[in-house]
Amino acid sequence: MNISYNWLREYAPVRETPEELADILTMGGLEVESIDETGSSMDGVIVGRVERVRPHPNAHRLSCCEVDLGGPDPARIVCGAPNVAEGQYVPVATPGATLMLPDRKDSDKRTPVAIRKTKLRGEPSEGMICAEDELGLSDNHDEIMVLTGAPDAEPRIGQPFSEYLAACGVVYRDAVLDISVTPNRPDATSHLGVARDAAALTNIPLRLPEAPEPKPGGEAADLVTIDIQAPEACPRYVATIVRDVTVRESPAWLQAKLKAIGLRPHNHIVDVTNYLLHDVGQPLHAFDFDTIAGQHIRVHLTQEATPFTTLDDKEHSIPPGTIMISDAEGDVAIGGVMGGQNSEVRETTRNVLVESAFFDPSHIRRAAKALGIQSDASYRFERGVDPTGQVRAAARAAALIAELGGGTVVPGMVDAHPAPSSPRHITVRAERIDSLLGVHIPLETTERLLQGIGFDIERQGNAETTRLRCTVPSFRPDIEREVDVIEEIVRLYGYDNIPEPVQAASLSTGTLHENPETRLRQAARTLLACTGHREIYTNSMLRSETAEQFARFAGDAPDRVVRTLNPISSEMAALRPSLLPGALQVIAFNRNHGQRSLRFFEFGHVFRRTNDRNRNETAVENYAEYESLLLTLSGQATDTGWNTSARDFDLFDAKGAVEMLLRHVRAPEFRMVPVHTPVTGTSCRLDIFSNDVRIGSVLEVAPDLSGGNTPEETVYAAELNWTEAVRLATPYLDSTYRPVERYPAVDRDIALVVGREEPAGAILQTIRRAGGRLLQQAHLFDLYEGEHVDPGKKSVAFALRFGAKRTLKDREVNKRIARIVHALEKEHGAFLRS
Amino acid sequence: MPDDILKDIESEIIDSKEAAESFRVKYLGRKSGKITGMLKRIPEAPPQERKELGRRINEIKKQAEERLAAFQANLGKPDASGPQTSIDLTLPGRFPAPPGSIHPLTHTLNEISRVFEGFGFSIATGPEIETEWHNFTALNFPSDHPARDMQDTFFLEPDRVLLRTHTSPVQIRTLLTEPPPVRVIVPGRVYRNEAVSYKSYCLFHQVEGLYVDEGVTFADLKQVLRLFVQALFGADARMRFRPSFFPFTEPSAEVDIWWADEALPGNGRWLEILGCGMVDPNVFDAVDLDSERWTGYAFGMGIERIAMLRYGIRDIRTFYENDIRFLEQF
Repeated sequence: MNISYNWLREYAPVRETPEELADILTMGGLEVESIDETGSSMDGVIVGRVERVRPHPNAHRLSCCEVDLGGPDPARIVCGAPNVAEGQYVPVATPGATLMLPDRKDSDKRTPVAIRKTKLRGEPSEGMICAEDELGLSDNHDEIMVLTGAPDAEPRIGQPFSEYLAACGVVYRDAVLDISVTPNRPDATSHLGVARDAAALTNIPLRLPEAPEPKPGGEAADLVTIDIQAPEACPRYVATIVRDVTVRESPAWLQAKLKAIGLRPHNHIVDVTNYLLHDVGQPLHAFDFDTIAGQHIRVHLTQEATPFTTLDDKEHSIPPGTIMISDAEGDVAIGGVMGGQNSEVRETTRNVLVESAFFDPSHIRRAAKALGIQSDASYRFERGVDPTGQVRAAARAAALIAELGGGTVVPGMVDAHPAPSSPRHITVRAERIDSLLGVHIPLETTERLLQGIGFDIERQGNAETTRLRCTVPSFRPDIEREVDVIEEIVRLYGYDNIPEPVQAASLSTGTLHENPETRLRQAARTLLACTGHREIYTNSMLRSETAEQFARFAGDAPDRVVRTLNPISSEMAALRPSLLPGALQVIAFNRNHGQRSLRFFEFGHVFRRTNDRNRNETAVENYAEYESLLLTLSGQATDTGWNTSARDFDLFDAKGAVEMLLRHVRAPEFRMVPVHTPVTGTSCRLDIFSNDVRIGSVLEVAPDLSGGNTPEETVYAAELNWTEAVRLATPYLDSTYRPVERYPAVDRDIALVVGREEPAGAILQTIRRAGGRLLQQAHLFDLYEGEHVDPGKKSVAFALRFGAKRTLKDREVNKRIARIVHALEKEHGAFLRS
Repeated sequence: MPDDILKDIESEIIDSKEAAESFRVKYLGRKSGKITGMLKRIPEAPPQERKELGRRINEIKKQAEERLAAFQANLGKPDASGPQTSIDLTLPGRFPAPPGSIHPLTHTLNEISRVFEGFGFSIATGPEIETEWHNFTALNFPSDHPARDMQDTFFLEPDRVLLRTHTSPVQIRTLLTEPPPVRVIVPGRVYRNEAVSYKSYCLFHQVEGLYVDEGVTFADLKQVLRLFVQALFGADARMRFRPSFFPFTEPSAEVDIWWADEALPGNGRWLEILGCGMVDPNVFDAVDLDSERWTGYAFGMGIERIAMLRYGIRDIRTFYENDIRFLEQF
């Protein structure tokens, strides 16, 4: 919202510069986002007297002048204005001055031009005699400005022009403050409202604008009848009438005010309503009274969708429940939002009805949103205008329209449903102010601050329990509770003036409650980053079709996909059921940018619809979400080095990475079980169980999902239900030390020949079972098929380590090996390789 | 005297041909070698000691010659230690694993969390799919507040279920399950229905803070946030508390930090980094706590915004593109 510094100073004559004022307002709760300085600085512009004028020898429209600027010699200046004459006092821009010269086509557009000594058509020119538009004082470019002086303001040769202007009382500079008004400040949407804060914050009195006070009734009430059929939506409707008016262009002062805040002047009637809206915050609407059929205004809510053309010539379908203003025949305005084309003021308008109403904020908010119209009026009604301000604004508007347009104000007015607004009272406990803020503010200060913004205060109670009975001003509908008043006190008192506690007592604490999820997530991140993985963050939203595809893949029906009702685009219509689609995109992106070795991980929530009430996953009925961890590997596992060879990733890299991770976070009793039934989207897959709960899977992504079709483009992934994994691992977080064995271990290798279909995992299991407690480690170190091994067979070799809390005898170990070999023969058809 | 020379001989380092030659000259040189000199001076000794002295000096001479011989014997052998190695030590080393990285948003979140954990805050989390009650109603958003509109918020079910627009609903979840005193921070992902551009994305991350106890004041809030800003942006960071408005806090403030930039008029500008305030009594009502007994403060900040400031990242979308050339810088 734009606020003109000069306009504001009419009500709060602050001495601060625009920058200082902006800072004060910002720190008082009205954030100034930018300051736009307007007007010329007048630096280097001085008063001179034209001593001599002679025609330019080479140009018949130019004159060569000698101007006395107070220096030893007069300045020679070429001038093109027809009115230049000897003896005139004129403003002269001297060399070095910079003027903001207007564009000839668009006088609102100005560019800086530096004045220099020059030659014009062969004649020297040492400056410029200025017209009003060249100094930014008006749009007048017809003639140079002749300084005729004013009482106590005679022009003097050599006088700085700014000094002369100040003596004449002419304001030539302004600054526009762009203020971002928070929703709780409906009072601050006008110059008067911001001035009230400025006055309170700088401790100067506020000057209120004068307004006539017409009595309800009178001739105006005979001319028009007003019928409010929806008092809840329009509790008050005031009308004044101006007769026999001539629609004109607004005078310069009014145009200048509107232009200063970025509005384009139309005609004086529209301009006056806009002026008052920005002056006091009460939106007004001017109707051409002769178009109001039956001289009757009806305020009602639309029952059904209604077509209507607004005064900007746009056609709208007005939704049911919208406040409409109608005359005896039809609709003439959307209440509080925008007037109609059929009743707007035109050049031919003679009689004007000024509407000044109070419309219910939520009705206006709904209408403005539904219609997509954000007008200056709806902006203010949405926030809540002063319910007592309608008459003053309507009366000022009528008087001004008549004054500027030569009409007469019809005596009296109509004040329909004059809501006798009863002021709100709030009792504030003095000790509550201090205990909430943590500072003692003297009561006198509190009272002064509140009175400055229009509160009436009455002190009650005794010295121990002082109460302030506050009467809330009518323009502050947002203040309803004690805490709202305290907020007003502290913003005016200044947040900066609240000292911090001497001791950091509020920071003292007992033990640190580090949650296991955070601790393990950190441990996992560090491990993964240190083993070559890069962490990624991907979008949680994706195409519905993609989400369905990956839901199936995660073992869910496509109808489990969670969709938003109002996606930004179809690309982001559903929530991810898995982290995989995001990672696949990242893999494709990086591959397209020349990356060959891709290892990523991501922590993030995944979502599905559900009917279960799994308390770990469901916070909101019908939905489940948990934190997932995804690892993806694709491309080159190792690079070619000076004595290493390149290798592509395979499934066992993913399997090993996830196993390392699970061990690192001490997930209990986990195992990985091959899934033999084919699953959509995977070429092969293992499920990961911990304590017999499925917590994830390791898989090779099928080419149709990953977009890959060559070995180096194959994507291997491991996805873990992190929430579940953490839950299972939590009991093991705090480990207890077990003394290490001091007795020597015995290492033995065995090599076996088995059928090539025999899974290594099962063989290992058998070895461990048969090895019993003495077998401490079993490690598969060789796998071989081919020469020296019968067709259909393979050779597997294991390194075994035995140990106990004593020195093992050879005999014991041999016995144990025999048992292992026997079990392997029996269960896997294996025999020792000789 | 001979004993001193013996010690000298033992301590000499012979690691090059040059060193060997100067050793030879120093001890065995025909003109000025120390041992040669001693041999020449034998006749000056008393006659009864000459034989013994001669024997001692010859022993020393033998030692010196042995050292020289030992060096010469090693010359040219391929396994000579030290500089004589033939391994090219300039060959690149083998990495135990290729370089990995942690996302800048994680780094930033960790830094923020560490500061508040040091102040005694625990970490709480909540769901991203949230009820309208937790996200808006309980946080004192009026029923027709613009944020509740479909234009600003992603809904899953009309007027009931949505994607949380801030981490503040976790304030409600925490206060409903944990009796005060409560001191938590809440990191998490939030969603806004906004057009994607260099400065806004449809989702981002926040850290929420909440402290509820008896006697918590606005002054306490100022203190904790000043300490936080100094921890994150340096002890000389300039900051200010500016009155603002949030439905769930009152009084409310925004915290700006001064961002020095010599290219700007005034050599810098104020940048908003977080919002905060005293917990609104209506929030206490919503979770059935007595707002006369308990007071508290809450604050919230955007992680992306702080990460962008700290790392000089201009386009928020960069975080979600995950270009390795971006990731490897963190």
